[in-house]
Amino acid sequence: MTTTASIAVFFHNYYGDHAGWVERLCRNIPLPFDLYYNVVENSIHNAGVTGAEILTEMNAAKSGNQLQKIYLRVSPNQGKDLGGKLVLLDSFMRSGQKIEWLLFLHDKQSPHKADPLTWKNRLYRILESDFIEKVMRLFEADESVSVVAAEGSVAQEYDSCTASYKSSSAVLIKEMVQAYQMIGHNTGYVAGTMFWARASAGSEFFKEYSPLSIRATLEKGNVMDDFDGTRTHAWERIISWVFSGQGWKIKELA
Amino acid sequence: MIIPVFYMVPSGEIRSSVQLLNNDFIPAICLDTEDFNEWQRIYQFLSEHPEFVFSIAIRHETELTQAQLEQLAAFCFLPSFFQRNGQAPVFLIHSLPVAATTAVSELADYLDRLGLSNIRFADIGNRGQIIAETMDQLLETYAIQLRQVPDGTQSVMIKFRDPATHSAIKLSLGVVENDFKNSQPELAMALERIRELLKLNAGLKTKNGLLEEELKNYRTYNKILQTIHPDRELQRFYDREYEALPRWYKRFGHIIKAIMGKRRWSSLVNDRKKGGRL
Repeated sequence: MTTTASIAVFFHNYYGDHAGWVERLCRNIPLPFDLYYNVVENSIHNAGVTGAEILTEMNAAKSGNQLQKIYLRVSPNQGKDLGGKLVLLDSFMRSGQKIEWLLFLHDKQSPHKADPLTWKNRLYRILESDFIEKVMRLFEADESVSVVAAEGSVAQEYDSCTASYKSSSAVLIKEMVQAYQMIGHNTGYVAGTMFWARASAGSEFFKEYSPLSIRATLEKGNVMDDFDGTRTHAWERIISWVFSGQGWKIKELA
Repeated sequence: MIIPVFYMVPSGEIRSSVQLLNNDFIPAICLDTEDFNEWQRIYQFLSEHPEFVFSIAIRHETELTQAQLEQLAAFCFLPSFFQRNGQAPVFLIHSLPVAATTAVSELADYLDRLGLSNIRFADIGNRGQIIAETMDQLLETYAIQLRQVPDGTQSVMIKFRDPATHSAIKLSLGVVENDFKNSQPELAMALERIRELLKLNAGLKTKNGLLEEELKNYRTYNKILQTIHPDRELQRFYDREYEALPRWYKRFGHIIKAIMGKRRWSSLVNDRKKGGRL
């Protein structure tokens, strides 16, 4: 028997292990949820596996009765996890579902970091069941909160003295803030693009700027911003502001 | 079927046809630009039923709108969208070749911007795709295609509404295949081997491309790690605080170390013998 889901999980997969992720999500999420799952088709970790095989693997790994539906999508690597999440947002909007809360996740590895494990563990805190319960209580108690992230994951790059961002993508961020009319937005953003969001906070934005039209502007392949700015990394900031603009707040939880 | 056979299905009949067709033929769902609501309904259906493999045939006389382009892309992201050897055909049906040419380049350009560069447009109006409008035509076309040297693009599109059932069509095509195998067994075997090799080659080519990409990624990660690694800060500290000192001061330091017993006198001499800088 299926129940109506109140949570939509957007998961972008590059490194495979689909069964492992379904198991983890089913084990940790205590409320009914739908899983929007994007697989990068041109990743060596997903090479030679068909959509049907992935779905079979995912369905076999389901446990409990909280996972209601799996919406699988297959897309090329463009805009990294953000590009995949935009494909999923598009699918979510086309489904016409009424969902209250969104959870953005991806299989983060950060092989370019000297200490990727600490960072990864911090970000995945949002997927632990006690954290999820805290998130739900916070959303219920404070209606002005629209984004919740793990403690220590909200970064602040805006320099009010120079009115610019301390980022290699600063110019692009500034351009996009103007193009998407985000004047007066929150300046903190969730680094790593893994967070909980109130669905209603971003719905108007994505009605005006379709997720696929945004994806079309992002760079192809596994782009990095360590040497030059990219639209993909500018969007890593902006996605937080989409859900936390117009008076909404971002909160960190331990 | 040895050669992929597409079966053009009017969008209104998708729910009833797709299940019947799916084991044997690939339904090419006919979407009319005049009825965009139907596109959305079909998308919902296919999104809920990822087990049905499908392709798309777009009937259009004008350029597609932005909403239609995005809906088409959304179809392409579904896991059951038909692909063979890394190529996914989308069929176009129209009667105005010039308008269609513009539309095709725009479509291809838009899909490429979304990363969908594997879509191959097959122009039905301009005979870019082999179509069969009668049963006889289908059998004849299928027999010809079977004997061609495979290049990965061979396919037949069934475009007729026939009283014959799907299973009867399948049976007839099976007879054509058997006739070929029996009459020219060596040629049939050789062509089958080419098909297998084409598939294997496409798979290996993809894997090779992905491994090259992964190697490039790791080279970039390595470069970043070398640039930002904490060791660099340590090296900078050493260079700033020690290497910048005058040579006589450093030599004096080594002598003090030797006096304090923290370095052997012989190591200073050996260093000199080796051409070391002391």
